[in-house]
Amino acid sequence: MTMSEFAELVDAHYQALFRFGISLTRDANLAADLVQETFCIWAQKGHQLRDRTKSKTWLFTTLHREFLSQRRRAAKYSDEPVDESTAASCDEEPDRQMDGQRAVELLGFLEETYRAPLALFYLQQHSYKEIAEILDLPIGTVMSRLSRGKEILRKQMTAEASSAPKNILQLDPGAIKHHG
Amino acid sequence: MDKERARFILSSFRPNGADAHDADFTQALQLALEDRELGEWLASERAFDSAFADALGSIELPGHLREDILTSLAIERGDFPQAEDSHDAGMIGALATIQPPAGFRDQILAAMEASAPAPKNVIPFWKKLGIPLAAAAGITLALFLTRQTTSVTTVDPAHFAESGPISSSIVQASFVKTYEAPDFSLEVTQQDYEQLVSHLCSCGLPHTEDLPDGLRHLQGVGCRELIVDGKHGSLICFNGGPDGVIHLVIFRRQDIAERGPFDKPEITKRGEWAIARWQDPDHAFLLLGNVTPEKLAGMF
Repeated sequence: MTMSEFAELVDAHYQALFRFGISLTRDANLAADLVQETFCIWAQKGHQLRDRTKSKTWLFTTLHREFLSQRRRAAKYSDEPVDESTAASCDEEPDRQMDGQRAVELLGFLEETYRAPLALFYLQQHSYKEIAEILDLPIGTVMSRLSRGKEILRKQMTAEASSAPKNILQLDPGAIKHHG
Repeated sequence: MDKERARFILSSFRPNGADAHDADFTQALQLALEDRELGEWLASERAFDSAFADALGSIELPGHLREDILTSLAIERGDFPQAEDSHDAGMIGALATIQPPAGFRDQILAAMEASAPAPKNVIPFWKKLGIPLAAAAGITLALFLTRQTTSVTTVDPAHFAESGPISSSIVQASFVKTYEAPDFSLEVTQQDYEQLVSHLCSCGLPHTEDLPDGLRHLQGVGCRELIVDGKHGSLICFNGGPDGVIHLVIFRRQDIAERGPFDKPEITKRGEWAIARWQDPDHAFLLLGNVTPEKLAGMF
Protein backbone atom coordinates (compact mmCIF):
# COMPACT_ATOMS: atom_id res chain seq x y z
CA MET A 1 0.00 0.00 0.00
CA THR A 2 1.50 3.34 -1.03
CA MET A 3 1.40 6.39 1.19
CA SER A 4 -1.23 7.97 -1.03
CA GLU A 5 -3.43 4.87 -0.63
CA PHE A 6 -2.96 5.20 3.10
CA ALA A 7 -3.94 8.85 2.85
CA GLU A 8 -7.09 7.84 0.96
CA LEU A 9 -8.01 5.36 3.66
CA VAL A 10 -7.36 7.93 6.38
CA ASP A 11 -9.38 10.59 4.58
CA ALA A 12 -12.30 8.22 4.13
CA HIS A 13 -12.61 7.20 7.77
CA TYR A 14 -10.70 9.28 10.30
CA GLN A 15 -13.50 11.75 10.98
CA ALA A 16 -16.12 9.11 11.73
CA LEU A 17 -13.57 7.14 13.75
CA PHE A 18 -12.79 10.22 15.81
CA ARG A 19 -16.49 10.83 16.47
CA PHE A 20 -16.94 7.22 17.47
CA GLY A 21 -13.87 7.52 19.70
CA ILE A 22 -15.11 10.66 21.40
CA SER A 23 -18.52 9.08 21.90
CA LEU A 24 -16.83 6.25 23.76
CA THR A 25 -14.30 8.26 25.76
CA ARG A 26 -15.84 11.74 25.94
CA ASP A 27 -12.31 13.07 25.66
CA ALA A 28 -10.94 14.60 22.45
CA ASN A 29 -7.32 13.71 23.24
CA LEU A 30 -8.12 10.11 24.08
CA ALA A 31 -10.25 9.87 20.94
CA ALA A 32 -7.43 11.25 18.79
CA ASP A 33 -5.01 8.76 20.36
CA LEU A 34 -7.41 5.92 19.67
CA VAL A 35 -7.77 6.91 16.02
CA GLN A 36 -4.02 7.24 15.60
CA GLU A 37 -3.44 3.89 17.29
CA THR A 38 -6.06 2.29 15.05
CA PHE A 39 -4.32 3.43 11.88
CA CYS A 40 -0.94 2.36 13.23
CA ILE A 41 -2.35 -1.11 13.81
CA TRP A 42 -3.65 -1.00 10.26
CA ALA A 43 -0.14 -0.14 9.05
CA GLN A 44 1.17 -3.21 10.86
CA LYS A 45 -1.62 -5.68 10.22
CA GLY A 46 -3.93 -4.26 7.58
CA HIS A 47 -2.25 -6.26 4.83
CA GLN A 48 -3.66 -9.40 6.45
CA LEU A 49 -7.16 -8.28 5.54
CA ARG A 50 -7.87 -9.99 2.24
CA ASP A 51 -11.24 -8.37 1.57
CA ARG A 52 -10.44 -4.67 1.29
CA THR A 53 -14.15 -3.80 1.22
CA LYS A 54 -14.11 -4.73 4.90
CA SER A 55 -11.51 -2.13 5.82
CA LYS A 56 -14.08 0.27 7.28
CA THR A 57 -15.54 -2.40 9.55
CA TRP A 58 -12.03 -3.52 10.43
CA LEU A 59 -11.03 -0.01 11.49
CA PHE A 60 -14.10 0.50 13.69
CA THR A 61 -13.70 -2.96 15.21
CA THR A 62 -10.06 -2.26 15.96
CA LEU A 63 -10.81 1.12 17.53
CA HIS A 64 -13.47 -0.41 19.74
CA ARG A 65 -11.15 -3.24 20.79
CA GLU A 66 -8.38 -0.77 21.55
CA PHE A 67 -10.80 1.26 23.65
CA LEU A 68 -11.85 -1.81 25.62
CA SER A 69 -8.25 -2.89 25.99
CA GLN A 70 -7.22 0.53 27.31
CA ARG A 71 -10.13 0.49 29.73
CA ARG A 72 -9.10 -2.91 31.01
CA ARG A 73 -5.50 -1.77 31.47
CA ALA A 74 -6.68 1.38 33.26
CA ALA A 75 -8.88 -0.70 35.56
CA LYS A 76 -6.06 -3.14 36.27
CA TYR A 77 -3.71 -0.43 37.51
CA SER A 78 -6.32 1.58 39.34
CA ASP A 79 -7.38 1.05 42.93
CA GLU A 80 -10.82 2.36 42.12
CA PRO A 81 -13.28 0.11 40.35
CA VAL A 82 -14.08 1.39 36.87
CA ASP A 83 -17.56 2.78 36.61
CA GLU A 84 -18.64 1.85 33.12
CA SER A 85 -20.80 4.89 32.72
CA THR A 86 -18.52 7.58 34.08
CA ALA A 87 -14.92 6.39 33.84
CA ALA A 88 -14.11 8.43 30.75
CA SER A 89 -12.95 11.94 31.43
CA CYS A 90 -15.11 14.89 30.55
CA ASP A 91 -12.36 17.10 29.23
CA GLU A 92 -14.34 18.84 26.54
CA GLU A 93 -12.78 21.41 24.29
CA PRO A 94 -14.27 24.84 24.77
CA ASP A 95 -14.38 25.57 21.05
CA ARG A 96 -16.35 22.45 20.12
CA GLN A 97 -19.85 23.21 18.92
CA MET A 98 -22.50 22.84 21.56
CA ASP A 99 -24.56 20.43 19.49
CA GLY A 100 -21.87 17.83 19.16
CA GLN A 101 -20.71 18.35 22.71
CA ARG A 102 -24.20 17.83 24.04
CA ALA A 103 -24.70 14.72 21.91
CA VAL A 104 -21.52 13.26 23.37
CA GLU A 105 -22.64 14.19 26.88
CA LEU A 106 -25.99 12.50 26.34
CA LEU A 107 -24.33 9.36 25.01
CA GLY A 108 -22.11 9.51 28.08
CA PHE A 109 -25.14 9.10 30.30
CA LEU A 110 -25.72 5.69 28.82
CA GLU A 111 -24.11 2.54 30.04
CA GLU A 112 -21.35 1.44 27.73
CA THR A 113 -23.38 -1.49 26.45
CA TYR A 114 -25.75 1.04 24.86
CA ARG A 115 -23.26 3.80 24.12
CA ALA A 116 -21.14 2.00 21.49
CA PRO A 117 -24.02 0.68 19.34
CA LEU A 118 -25.90 3.97 19.54
CA ALA A 119 -22.81 6.00 18.62
CA LEU A 120 -22.23 3.77 15.59
CA PHE A 121 -25.91 4.01 14.66
CA TYR A 122 -25.91 7.80 14.82
CA LEU A 123 -22.74 8.03 12.77
CA GLN A 124 -24.94 6.40 10.09
CA GLN A 125 -22.01 4.68 8.43
CA HIS A 126 -23.00 1.16 9.38
CA SER A 127 -26.11 -0.96 9.18
CA TYR A 128 -27.21 -2.72 12.35
CA LYS A 129 -25.69 -5.91 10.95
CA GLU A 130 -22.33 -4.21 10.52
CA ILE A 131 -22.61 -2.77 14.02
CA ALA A 132 -23.13 -6.32 15.28
CA GLU A 133 -19.97 -7.37 13.44
CA ILE A 134 -17.94 -4.46 14.78
CA LEU A 135 -19.02 -5.03 18.37
CA ASP A 136 -18.98 -8.79 18.03
CA LEU A 137 -22.57 -9.09 19.20
CA PRO A 138 -25.58 -11.04 17.92
CA ILE A 139 -27.74 -9.00 15.55
CA GLY A 140 -30.76 -9.27 17.84
CA THR A 141 -28.75 -7.91 20.75
CA VAL A 142 -27.73 -4.88 18.72
CA MET A 143 -31.34 -4.19 17.69
CA SER A 144 -32.43 -4.54 21.28
CA ARG A 145 -29.71 -2.20 22.53
CA LEU A 146 -30.53 0.39 19.88
CA SER A 147 -34.18 0.32 20.81
CA ARG A 148 -33.56 0.37 24.55
CA GLY A 149 -30.70 2.86 24.31
CA LYS A 150 -32.83 5.38 22.45
CA GLU A 151 -35.54 4.98 25.03
CA ILE A 152 -33.08 5.74 27.83
CA LEU A 153 -31.75 8.69 25.86
CA ARG A 154 -35.22 10.17 25.47
CA LYS A 155 -35.97 9.67 29.15
CA GLN A 156 -32.71 11.37 30.08
CA MET A 157 -33.52 14.34 27.89
CA THR A 158 -37.05 14.55 29.22
CA ALA A 159 -35.76 14.45 32.80
CA GLU A 160 -33.25 17.21 32.03
CA ALA A 161 -35.87 19.27 30.28
CA SER A 162 -38.10 19.20 33.32
CA SER A 163 -35.32 19.91 35.83
CA ALA A 164 -33.12 22.42 33.98
CA PRO A 165 -34.85 23.78 30.91
CA LYS A 166 -32.05 26.16 30.00
CA ASN A 167 -29.49 23.41 29.67
CA ILE A 168 -31.24 21.05 27.34
CA LEU A 169 -30.16 20.53 23.81
CA GLN A 170 -33.00 21.39 21.49
CA LEU A 171 -32.88 18.38 19.27
CA ASP A 172 -35.08 20.01 16.74
CA PRO A 173 -33.74 19.07 13.32
CA GLY A 174 -34.35 22.52 11.90
CA ALA A 175 -32.51 24.19 14.73
CA ILE A 176 -29.49 21.92 14.46
CA LYS A 177 -29.09 22.33 10.73
CA HIS A 178 -28.26 25.99 11.32
CA HIS A 179 -25.02 24.89 12.96
CA GLY A 180 -24.25 22.49 10.07
CA MET B 1 -46.02 -8.52 12.30
CA ASP B 2 -47.52 -6.42 15.07
CA LYS B 3 -46.78 -2.77 15.78
CA GLU B 4 -44.44 -3.45 18.68
CA ARG B 5 -42.34 -5.76 16.55
CA ALA B 6 -42.30 -3.16 13.77
CA ARG B 7 -41.17 -0.47 16.23
CA PHE B 8 -38.41 -2.72 17.46
CA ILE B 9 -37.15 -3.34 13.91
CA LEU B 10 -37.50 0.27 12.81
CA SER B 11 -35.42 1.42 15.77
CA SER B 12 -32.45 0.14 13.75
CA PHE B 13 -33.48 2.03 10.61
CA ARG B 14 -30.90 4.73 9.93
CA PRO B 15 -32.30 8.24 9.66
CA ASN B 16 -30.41 9.02 6.44
CA GLY B 17 -32.39 6.33 4.66
CA ALA B 18 -29.33 4.17 3.99
CA ASP B 19 -31.38 1.10 4.92
CA ALA B 20 -34.30 1.93 2.64
CA HIS B 21 -33.48 -0.93 0.29
CA ASP B 22 -32.74 -3.44 3.01
CA ALA B 23 -35.33 -6.19 2.74
CA ASP B 24 -35.26 -6.67 6.52
CA PHE B 25 -37.12 -3.38 6.94
CA THR B 26 -39.60 -3.74 4.09
CA GLN B 27 -42.44 -5.30 6.04
CA ALA B 28 -42.10 -2.94 8.99
CA LEU B 29 -41.96 0.10 6.68
CA GLN B 30 -45.04 -1.13 4.86
CA LEU B 31 -46.87 -1.44 8.13
CA ALA B 32 -45.83 2.11 9.06
CA LEU B 33 -47.36 3.29 5.78
CA GLU B 34 -50.63 1.58 6.57
CA ASP B 35 -50.88 2.31 10.28
CA ARG B 36 -51.21 6.00 11.12
CA GLU B 37 -50.00 5.69 14.71
CA LEU B 38 -46.96 3.68 13.69
CA GLY B 39 -46.30 6.11 10.83
CA GLU B 40 -46.34 9.08 13.20
CA TRP B 41 -44.09 7.27 15.61
CA LEU B 42 -41.64 6.53 12.78
CA ALA B 43 -41.66 10.15 11.63
CA SER B 44 -40.95 11.31 15.17
CA GLU B 45 -38.27 8.67 15.63
CA ARG B 46 -36.53 9.63 12.40
CA ALA B 47 -36.65 13.33 13.26
CA PHE B 48 -35.09 12.60 16.66
CA ASP B 49 -32.47 10.28 15.15
CA SER B 50 -31.70 12.70 12.38
CA ALA B 51 -31.22 15.57 14.82
CA PHE B 52 -28.99 13.48 17.04
CA ALA B 53 -26.95 12.24 14.06
CA ASP B 54 -26.53 15.83 12.84
CA ALA B 55 -25.39 16.87 16.30
CA LEU B 56 -22.86 14.04 16.49
CA GLY B 57 -21.67 14.82 12.99
CA SER B 58 -21.03 18.43 13.94
CA ILE B 59 -18.24 17.53 16.37
CA GLU B 60 -15.17 19.41 15.25
CA LEU B 61 -11.98 17.49 14.79
CA PRO B 62 -8.60 18.47 16.23
CA GLY B 63 -6.88 20.62 13.60
CA HIS B 64 -3.87 18.41 13.02
CA LEU B 65 -5.41 15.00 13.53
CA ARG B 66 -5.19 14.03 9.86
CA GLU B 67 -1.59 15.19 9.53
CA ASP B 68 -0.63 13.48 12.77
CA ILE B 69 -2.13 10.20 11.59
CA LEU B 70 -0.36 10.38 8.23
CA THR B 71 2.94 11.27 9.85
CA SER B 72 2.58 8.37 12.29
CA LEU B 73 1.78 6.04 9.42
CA ALA B 74 4.79 7.23 7.46
CA ILE B 75 7.02 6.62 10.46
CA GLU B 76 5.35 3.26 11.10
CA ARG B 77 6.06 2.25 7.51
CA GLY B 78 9.64 3.49 7.73
CA ASP B 79 9.13 5.86 4.81
CA PHE B 80 11.70 8.11 6.33
CA PRO B 81 14.10 7.19 9.10
CA GLN B 82 13.72 8.71 12.50
CA ALA B 83 16.26 11.42 13.05
CA GLU B 84 18.63 10.88 15.89
CA ASP B 85 20.19 13.63 17.91
CA SER B 86 23.90 13.53 18.64
CA HIS B 87 23.27 11.50 21.79
CA ASP B 88 21.31 8.91 19.81
CA ALA B 89 23.99 8.79 17.15
CA GLY B 90 26.62 8.21 19.83
CA MET B 91 24.63 5.40 21.39
CA ILE B 92 24.01 3.79 18.01
CA GLY B 93 27.71 3.94 17.21
CA ALA B 94 28.64 2.53 20.61
CA LEU B 95 26.13 -0.31 20.39
CA ALA B 96 27.30 -1.16 16.89
CA THR B 97 30.77 -1.88 18.23
CA ILE B 98 29.51 -4.60 20.58
CA GLN B 99 30.39 -8.00 19.17
CA PRO B 100 28.57 -11.19 20.14
CA PRO B 101 30.74 -14.03 21.50
CA ALA B 102 32.64 -16.01 18.92
CA GLY B 103 30.61 -18.92 17.61
CA PHE B 104 27.36 -17.50 19.04
CA ARG B 105 25.56 -17.65 15.71
CA ASP B 106 26.53 -21.28 15.17
CA GLN B 107 25.37 -22.15 18.68
CA ILE B 108 21.97 -20.60 18.02
CA LEU B 109 21.59 -22.39 14.71
CA ALA B 110 22.57 -25.71 16.28
CA ALA B 111 20.09 -25.19 19.13
CA MET B 112 17.33 -24.31 16.67
CA GLU B 113 18.08 -27.34 14.57
CA ALA B 114 17.94 -29.59 17.62
CA SER B 115 14.66 -28.04 18.80
CA ALA B 116 12.90 -27.95 15.46
CA PRO B 117 10.20 -30.55 14.81
CA ALA B 118 10.61 -33.00 11.95
CA PRO B 119 10.25 -31.17 8.63
CA LYS B 120 6.78 -31.13 7.08
CA ASN B 121 5.54 -29.92 3.76
CA VAL B 122 4.00 -26.83 5.32
CA ILE B 123 6.21 -23.94 6.34
CA PRO B 124 6.66 -23.94 10.14
CA PHE B 125 5.27 -20.99 12.04
CA TRP B 126 8.67 -19.78 13.19
CA LYS B 127 9.87 -19.71 9.62
CA LYS B 128 6.81 -17.75 8.56
CA LEU B 129 7.55 -15.35 11.34
CA GLY B 130 11.21 -15.34 10.42
CA ILE B 131 10.66 -14.17 6.86
CA PRO B 132 9.09 -10.81 7.75
CA LEU B 133 11.50 -10.47 10.64
CA ALA B 134 14.43 -11.10 8.36
CA ALA B 135 13.00 -8.67 5.84
CA ALA B 136 12.52 -6.06 8.54
CA ALA B 137 16.04 -6.65 9.80
CA GLY B 138 17.33 -6.36 6.25
CA ILE B 139 15.50 -3.11 5.68
CA THR B 140 16.74 -1.75 8.98
CA LEU B 141 20.30 -2.75 8.13
CA ALA B 142 19.99 -1.27 4.66
CA LEU B 143 18.68 1.98 6.10
CA PHE B 144 21.48 2.06 8.62
CA LEU B 145 24.13 1.41 5.99
CA THR B 146 22.56 3.95 3.66
CA ARG B 147 22.75 6.55 6.37
CA GLN B 148 26.46 5.84 6.80
CA THR B 149 27.32 6.26 3.15
CA THR B 150 24.81 8.70 1.68
CA SER B 151 24.78 12.34 2.47
CA VAL B 152 22.26 13.68 -0.01
CA THR B 153 19.04 11.69 0.07
CA THR B 154 17.43 9.88 2.96
CA VAL B 155 14.62 8.28 1.00
CA ASP B 156 15.11 5.91 -1.91
CA PRO B 157 13.22 7.44 -4.83
CA ALA B 158 12.95 4.19 -6.74
CA HIS B 159 11.06 2.63 -3.86
CA PHE B 160 8.17 5.00 -4.34
CA ALA B 161 8.46 5.71 -8.02
CA GLU B 162 4.89 4.73 -8.78
CA SER B 163 3.11 6.25 -5.81
CA GLY B 164 0.45 8.97 -6.16
CA PRO B 165 0.43 12.51 -4.78
CA ILE B 166 1.74 12.94 -1.28
CA SER B 167 0.46 14.87 1.66
CA SER B 168 2.21 18.14 2.51
CA SER B 169 2.43 16.87 6.09
CA ILE B 170 4.59 14.00 4.82
CA VAL B 171 6.80 16.48 2.97
CA GLN B 172 7.05 18.55 6.11
CA ALA B 173 7.91 15.58 8.32
CA SER B 174 10.39 14.28 5.78
CA PHE B 175 12.10 17.67 5.58
CA VAL B 176 12.43 17.82 9.37
CA LYS B 177 13.86 14.31 9.56
CA THR B 178 16.28 15.02 6.73
CA TYR B 179 17.37 18.39 8.11
CA GLU B 180 17.82 17.11 11.64
CA ALA B 181 19.80 14.04 10.56
CA PRO B 182 23.46 14.22 11.62
CA ASP B 183 24.62 13.82 8.01
CA PHE B 184 22.49 16.60 6.55
CA SER B 185 24.25 18.58 3.83
CA LEU B 186 23.55 20.93 0.94
CA GLU B 187 24.49 20.22 -2.67
CA VAL B 188 25.36 23.85 -3.35
CA THR B 189 26.27 26.59 -0.87
CA GLN B 190 25.73 30.00 -2.38
CA GLN B 191 24.41 33.36 -1.18
CA ASP B 192 23.06 34.43 -4.55
CA TYR B 193 19.50 33.20 -4.97
CA GLU B 194 19.68 33.39 -8.77
CA GLN B 195 22.60 31.00 -8.79
CA LEU B 196 20.74 28.63 -6.51
CA VAL B 197 17.80 28.73 -8.89
CA SER B 198 20.16 28.14 -11.79
CA HIS B 199 21.48 24.99 -10.11
CA LEU B 200 17.99 23.67 -9.36
CA CYS B 201 16.94 24.46 -12.93
CA SER B 202 19.90 22.54 -14.35
CA CYS B 203 18.89 19.55 -12.19
CA GLY B 204 15.31 19.72 -13.45
CA LEU B 205 14.04 20.50 -9.95
CA PRO B 206 11.12 22.82 -9.12
CA HIS B 207 12.03 26.44 -8.44
CA THR B 208 10.45 29.88 -8.41
CA GLU B 209 11.33 33.48 -9.12
CA ASP B 210 8.34 34.64 -7.14
CA LEU B 211 9.59 34.68 -3.57
CA PRO B 212 7.62 36.04 -0.61
CA ASP B 213 8.65 39.62 0.11
CA GLY B 214 10.39 38.72 3.36
CA LEU B 215 12.65 36.19 1.62
CA ARG B 216 13.78 38.55 -1.15
CA HIS B 217 15.92 40.47 1.33
CA LEU B 218 17.59 37.40 2.82
CA GLN B 219 20.87 35.96 1.62
CA GLY B 220 20.86 32.39 0.42
CA VAL B 221 22.72 29.65 2.28
CA GLY B 222 22.41 26.83 -0.19
CA CYS B 223 20.11 24.30 -1.80
CA ARG B 224 19.63 20.62 -2.42
CA GLU B 225 17.22 18.07 -3.77
CA LEU B 226 14.61 16.67 -1.41
CA ILE B 227 13.05 13.36 -2.40
CA VAL B 228 9.88 12.26 -0.63
CA ASP B 229 7.87 9.20 -1.59
CA GLY B 230 9.49 9.21 -5.02
CA LYS B 231 8.66 12.87 -5.64
CA HIS B 232 11.54 15.23 -6.38
CA GLY B 233 11.47 18.64 -4.71
CA SER B 234 13.85 21.44 -3.87
CA LEU B 235 15.06 22.75 -0.56
CA ILE B 236 16.47 26.27 -0.49
CA CYS B 237 17.92 27.62 2.75
CA PHE B 238 18.10 31.32 3.62
CA ASN B 239 20.06 33.10 6.28
CA GLY B 240 17.43 34.58 8.56
CA GLY B 241 20.03 36.32 10.78
CA PRO B 242 19.03 36.13 14.44
CA ASP B 243 16.04 33.99 13.46
CA GLY B 244 18.32 31.24 12.18
CA VAL B 245 17.93 29.48 8.87
CA ILE B 246 14.65 29.76 6.99
CA HIS B 247 13.85 26.85 4.66
CA LEU B 248 11.82 26.97 1.49
CA VAL B 249 10.62 23.61 0.19
CA ILE B 250 9.19 23.49 -3.33
CA PHE B 251 7.41 20.59 -4.99
CA ARG B 252 5.47 20.39 -8.21
CA ARG B 253 1.83 21.00 -7.46
CA GLN B 254 0.65 17.78 -9.04
CA ASP B 255 2.85 15.82 -6.64
CA ILE B 256 1.02 17.18 -3.61
CA ALA B 257 -2.38 15.82 -2.60
CA GLU B 258 -3.87 18.99 -1.12
CA ARG B 259 -5.13 21.91 -3.19
CA GLY B 260 -4.39 25.43 -2.01
CA PRO B 261 -4.29 27.73 -0.24
CA PHE B 262 -3.55 30.03 -3.16
CA ASP B 263 -4.21 33.58 -1.98
CA LYS B 264 -2.81 33.55 1.50
CA PRO B 265 -0.46 31.07 3.19
CA GLU B 266 -1.77 28.80 5.90
CA ILE B 267 0.50 29.18 8.91
CA THR B 268 0.77 26.56 11.63
CA LYS B 269 3.11 25.61 14.43
CA ARG B 270 4.35 22.02 14.82
CA GLY B 271 6.75 21.50 17.68
CA GLU B 272 9.57 24.00 17.29
CA TRP B 273 8.74 24.66 13.65
CA ALA B 274 6.53 27.40 12.28
CA ILE B 275 5.28 26.38 8.85
CA ALA B 276 3.68 28.36 6.06
CA ARG B 277 1.99 26.40 3.29
CA TRP B 278 0.72 27.78 -0.01
CA GLN B 279 0.55 27.00 -3.71
CA ASP B 280 0.68 28.70 -7.10
CA PRO B 281 -0.62 27.12 -10.32
CA ASP B 282 2.55 25.07 -10.77
CA HIS B 283 4.12 24.66 -7.34
CA ALA B 284 3.42 23.75 -3.74
CA PHE B 285 5.50 25.62 -1.17
CA LEU B 286 6.41 25.10 2.44
CA LEU B 287 8.34 27.74 4.36
CA LEU B 288 9.72 26.51 7.66
CA GLY B 289 11.71 28.12 10.44
CA ASN B 290 12.40 27.81 14.16
CA VAL B 291 10.55 31.09 14.66
CA THR B 292 7.16 32.18 15.89
CA PRO B 293 4.23 31.84 13.50
CA GLU B 294 3.85 35.64 13.65
CA LYS B 295 7.44 36.08 12.51
CA LEU B 296 6.90 33.70 9.61
CA ALA B 297 3.64 35.43 8.71
CA GLY B 298 5.59 38.72 8.55
CA MET B 299 7.50 37.36 5.54
CA PHE B 300 4.44 37.55 3.32
